[in-house]
Amino acid sequence: MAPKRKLDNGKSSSSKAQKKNGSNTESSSALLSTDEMQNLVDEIIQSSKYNNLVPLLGQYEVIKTEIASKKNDKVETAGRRLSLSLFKAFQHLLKEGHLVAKKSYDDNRKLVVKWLINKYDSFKDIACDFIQTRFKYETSLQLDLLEIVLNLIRLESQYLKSGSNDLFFPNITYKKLCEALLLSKSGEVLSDGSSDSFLVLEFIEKFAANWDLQFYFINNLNEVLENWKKTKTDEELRSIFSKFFTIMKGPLLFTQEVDELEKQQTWIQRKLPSIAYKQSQFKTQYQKAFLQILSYPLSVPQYKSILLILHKRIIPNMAQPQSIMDFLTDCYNISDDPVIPILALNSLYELMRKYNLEYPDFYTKLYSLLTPELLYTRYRSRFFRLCDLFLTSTHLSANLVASFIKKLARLSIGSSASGVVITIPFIYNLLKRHPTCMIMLHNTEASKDEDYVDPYNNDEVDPLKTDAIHSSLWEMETLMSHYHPNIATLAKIFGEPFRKHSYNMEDFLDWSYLTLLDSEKNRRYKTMAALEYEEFDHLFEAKDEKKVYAEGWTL
Amino acid sequence: MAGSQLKQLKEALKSKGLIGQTNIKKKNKKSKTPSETRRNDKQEVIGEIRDQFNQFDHRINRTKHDVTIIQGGKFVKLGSKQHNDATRSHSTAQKTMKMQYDLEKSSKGRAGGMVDRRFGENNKHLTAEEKMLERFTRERQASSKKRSVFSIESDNEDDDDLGGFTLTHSGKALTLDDEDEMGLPEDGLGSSITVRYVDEDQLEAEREQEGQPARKKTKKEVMKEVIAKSKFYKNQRQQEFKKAQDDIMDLDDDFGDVMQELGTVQQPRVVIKPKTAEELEYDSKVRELTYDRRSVPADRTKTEEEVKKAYDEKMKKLETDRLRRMNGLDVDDRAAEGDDLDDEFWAGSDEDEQDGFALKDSEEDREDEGSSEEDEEETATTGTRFGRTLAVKKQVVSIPSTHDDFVNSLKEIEEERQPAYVKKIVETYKPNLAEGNKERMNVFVGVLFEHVLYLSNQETSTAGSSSSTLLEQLMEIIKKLSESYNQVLVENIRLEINEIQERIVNDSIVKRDLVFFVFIGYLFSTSDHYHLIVTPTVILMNQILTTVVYSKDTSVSQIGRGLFVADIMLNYQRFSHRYVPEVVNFLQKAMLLLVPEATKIPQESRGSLFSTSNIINSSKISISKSEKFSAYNDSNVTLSISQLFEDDESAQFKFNLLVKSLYLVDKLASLWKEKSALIEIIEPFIVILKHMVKYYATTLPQIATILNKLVKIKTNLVKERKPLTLQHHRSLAIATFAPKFEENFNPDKKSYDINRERQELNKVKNELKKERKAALKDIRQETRFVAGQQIAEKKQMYDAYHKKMAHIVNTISTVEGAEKNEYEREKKQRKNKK
Repeated sequence: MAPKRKLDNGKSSSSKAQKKNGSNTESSSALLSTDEMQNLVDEIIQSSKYNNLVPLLGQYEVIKTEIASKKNDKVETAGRRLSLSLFKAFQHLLKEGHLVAKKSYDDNRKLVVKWLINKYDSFKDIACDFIQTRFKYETSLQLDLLEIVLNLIRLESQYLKSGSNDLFFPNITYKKLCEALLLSKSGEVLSDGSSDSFLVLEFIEKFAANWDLQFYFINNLNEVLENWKKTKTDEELRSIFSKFFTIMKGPLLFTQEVDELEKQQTWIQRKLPSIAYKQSQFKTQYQKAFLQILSYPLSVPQYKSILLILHKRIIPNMAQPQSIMDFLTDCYNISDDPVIPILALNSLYELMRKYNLEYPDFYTKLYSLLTPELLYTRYRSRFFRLCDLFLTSTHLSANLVASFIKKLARLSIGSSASGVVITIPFIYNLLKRHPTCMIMLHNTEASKDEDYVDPYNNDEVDPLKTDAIHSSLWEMETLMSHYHPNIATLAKIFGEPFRKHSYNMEDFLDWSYLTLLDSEKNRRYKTMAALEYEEFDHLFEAKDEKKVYAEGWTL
Repeated sequence: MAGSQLKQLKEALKSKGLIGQTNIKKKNKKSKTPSETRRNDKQEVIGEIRDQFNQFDHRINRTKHDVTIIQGGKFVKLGSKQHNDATRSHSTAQKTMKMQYDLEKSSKGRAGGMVDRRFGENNKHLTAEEKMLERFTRERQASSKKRSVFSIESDNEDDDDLGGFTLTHSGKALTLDDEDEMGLPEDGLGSSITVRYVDEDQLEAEREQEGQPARKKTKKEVMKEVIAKSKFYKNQRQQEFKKAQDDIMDLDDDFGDVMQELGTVQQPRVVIKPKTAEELEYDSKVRELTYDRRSVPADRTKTEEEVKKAYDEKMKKLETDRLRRMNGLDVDDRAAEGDDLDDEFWAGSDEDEQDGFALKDSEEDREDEGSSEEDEEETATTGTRFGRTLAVKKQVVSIPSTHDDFVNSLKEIEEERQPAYVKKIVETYKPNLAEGNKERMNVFVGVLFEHVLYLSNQETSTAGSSSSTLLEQLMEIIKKLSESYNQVLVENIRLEINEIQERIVNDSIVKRDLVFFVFIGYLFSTSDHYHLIVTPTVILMNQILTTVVYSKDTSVSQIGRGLFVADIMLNYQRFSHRYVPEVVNFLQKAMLLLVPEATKIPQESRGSLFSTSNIINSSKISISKSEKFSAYNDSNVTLSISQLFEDDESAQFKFNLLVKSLYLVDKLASLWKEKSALIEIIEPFIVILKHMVKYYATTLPQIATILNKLVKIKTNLVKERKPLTLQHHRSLAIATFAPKFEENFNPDKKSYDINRERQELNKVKNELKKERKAALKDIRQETRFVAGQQIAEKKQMYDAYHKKMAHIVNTISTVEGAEKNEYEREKKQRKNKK
């Protein structure tokens, strides 16, 4: 395993380090030399001089102050060696059973054990403290300590259990580590709301593969998360969320089948207590943790990123997915950023479909999402896919569908080419599916009416009351003369018989100026590019009164 | 006939007089009764009866109806035995078959065919060896047979005496007697052959000399002579031919030697006198005359009206072409298009120089020629050598191959003279002047375009107007080159488009990109439905506009650049009036950002705006309310492009931009006045203008006019606009499947195949089948007939034999009986005598 490898490295490098001893001690006077450290540890292991632990643990103070301010490779390597040695010492103590107080021990012995446990705990605390602290730079020492704590968890599960047949997971130690990780000040919150902390990233590697780490992570955190919400500032909470999200965004090993769950790999490499395999326990804890973390004050990108994975990753693992409804409703109602409601749609749809959720005024809300920005957001394809789904039912009232059609048409006359490319086939499909709305394209009755006035009310929020069905799609007629030849041709379908069954929306959702231009690049030069025959005397504004191309502009 | 078979038999036998009473007097002699004397008769009669009673030998054709016909003067029941027999024996087919058979029989073994008389050929019990041995012995025996002593035939006729039997191999006789004959084929020499054949005339003469009377030749002899003669002559001919061939071969062999000999012989030399100067001059004049130009009637100078008319027609054609392209109808290539553009620029010079004459050389050219006479001398010598004088000018300018070269070469030239310099390059390197010029010019057009963009990117601090005029002059040249170097130009522009796209993505547009859009509009027909250059350019421009619209914090200069792009975009659409949503959206955002206190726009009227409130609320660059500007009456304001890149944040600049956007609003409203959604397009502007009027009613009086105009348009449109009726389509007929009736159906016809070929094929197939059946039937009938005939013949033969034998026995027994009677009588007599 990894720690052993490090052990070997330590041994091989120690001989080299010995030669540089002198210089080492000069630079950091309080720091013990490698030899001294080695001696102290050897004494602990071989001759039970437990008092040596005190100076060794004291070293961390020095190291912390040294590297907190500036980059110091020597101190760091010394720290790494120290950590390794101490790990070895405690490993020895654990294996020998010196950290377990047996009833048969006399008082003195118990006192020693207690003292040793105390030292052991303080070692773990120091490690967690290092993980939590942010240094000037990303130290390998922190990584080492993370690994050491994880390895200690493994050792503890083996040697600290009360009976030889007991199933034991060192929950307290692991909880400490988890808290330290979440509180860790290392790393920045990225633009997508996750964290780039190297410790977290290192931890995820182990986390993703082992079921016990996942289960106890979820299981332990509820209370702490709640406490933090009360005590921490918004900024800190966002940082915590970012780490939590980073850890949890990957797929979990959780499955519905208990048998398969029991076969999953574990970090402690033995069977877990039965609680870890209980479906309901995990789901409840998971739900609690998530509801708690989602109630944190999140930033907009964090909303976006959690919503992106919510319906696929998170909802299926919850005991009562309905409980997330409040969160989603909140998201859906956020109006600062049009993207968040769009993203919340997916999860809402999932809840409605699978868990029979009732959402009042759903279509009104959906209608309110039709904003000019919608046609430009990155998530427009996501929205239109869902919207297509929501408007599939033939039982929707014609008024409602007509409102959507009219609104989209209205939006498209101010939209970019990519938006227009979506709306045209979308409206076509809607018209094809709801033939009653064809009156918006072909209304012979009303066109004879002398006093006809367009009844559509653009400001009406309720799609049932806009009266769009009595309006007409002049916008689409205008788009028939769109500047892009293909879009203009596409818009002309409204003037032709509706013979095509429907357009496949996927072909139209992801166009952009770049892709439009790319398709132009592939064209071959066939005939002469037509030239302008109109003559201009000047390109730019000049003093004389001649014909100018760019009127009102000079170079 | 009635009764059982036995009774019938008895009856039959009785009626023939074979049993019962035999001495009854015959009532009618017709029925044949066996006479006592002729034993055969009895047999015959019995055979007849037997036949009659053997029912299996009868052939009966059953008929459906009982019909009786008259045949051979008798009433015959159809299908009965009599009828059948009669028809069979009397049918013409039967007769012809009989005749055929008789003919074949008579000629059998007489005409045609070959009889193989070779010994043992058909004997299967002999091996090949044995056969050969047997044949050999036979031949020897035949030859060694002693002639009859009394034979008149002479010795030389011994061939015949073999009885036509000789051993042969592939038609040639094999003999072992004459050794020389055997050697003949190997020698192949004619001399020995002549010995073999005897000259018949000589022979006859000899015979006459001997005094013997000329014996009459037999036919066989005559034929033999004829054959021998012809063989002899043929042989002679062959000998002659062979000899001639040999001679020719010998001559051929010697030919080489002869020619060698001839080669060494000296030829008498023809002396060519050098031409005199006069003669040379004459020659050259004659030669020149051939190249002299034929006098042709000069083109009539057109009257002013004609010129105008031609011009109008040209413009009309261009206009219709443009319309067709605009409607996307034009997909075929437009080869003639390019020539329409500039006839005057390189007027007439092309064809003149192609002929080697410079009729209308410009002043400049003449000077050039004068100054470089030495060069001309050189070219003249080469020119006359080909009998052609090329007007090769001295190339005073060098064509640059890269843009850097070009910039370097331009450094020394003043700005005013640069266009002239470029023109000169273009003129000097016309493709028809030298090989490779076309390629050089292709490169140069690219360089020139690059240079124009390069110039436009320069800071205009030095002399704005002059660089602008230089640019325009260069652009004019490019425009004139654009038709002949279209492809190169297009390729260069497409590369430039790619570069601009990258710059847009990186948000680092430079001045030349904006100028580029102007150039495109100036050079190419922007009204086309699809255009290889314009379409991508328009996409680029809209990309710029959209990035401005959706960027979170827009800068003033970004808005300025956007306004420029929007303006040029509207220029592009001045003819085709295509709708550009991005321009509307952008203009609106630009104005919302610039106007003071956009937040005060009433909430209820915001619904028609394309952008939502967060633009209004977040505007950081709006002009502050307190700023005062001098009154501005002009509808348009002149801005410089370089200003758009200077990050000018001054209130005056913002104000100018606002004026510009007002101008654009006006422009787009009139440009798209035909669009049915114009209400929706201008509505947001009305809202914004209403808001603006509050602040700039005095400084910008045109706001009011534009606002009035827009409101008027809107109110008119609201009244006029009627719902769409886009789906007026010709109703489509439902496909019908009514049965199809055949006009002249005939149930008798066997098939009604529509496919004529197949029908005919089937017909032929049927015919073939029928023919085949008929042929088989015929063949069977014939063989049956032949078999019957043969049996009948054999019967006849046997009958004849038996008759003969009976006759012989009868005669003998008669003679014998007579002799016996004689003997008996004699014996009786002798007894009596005794």
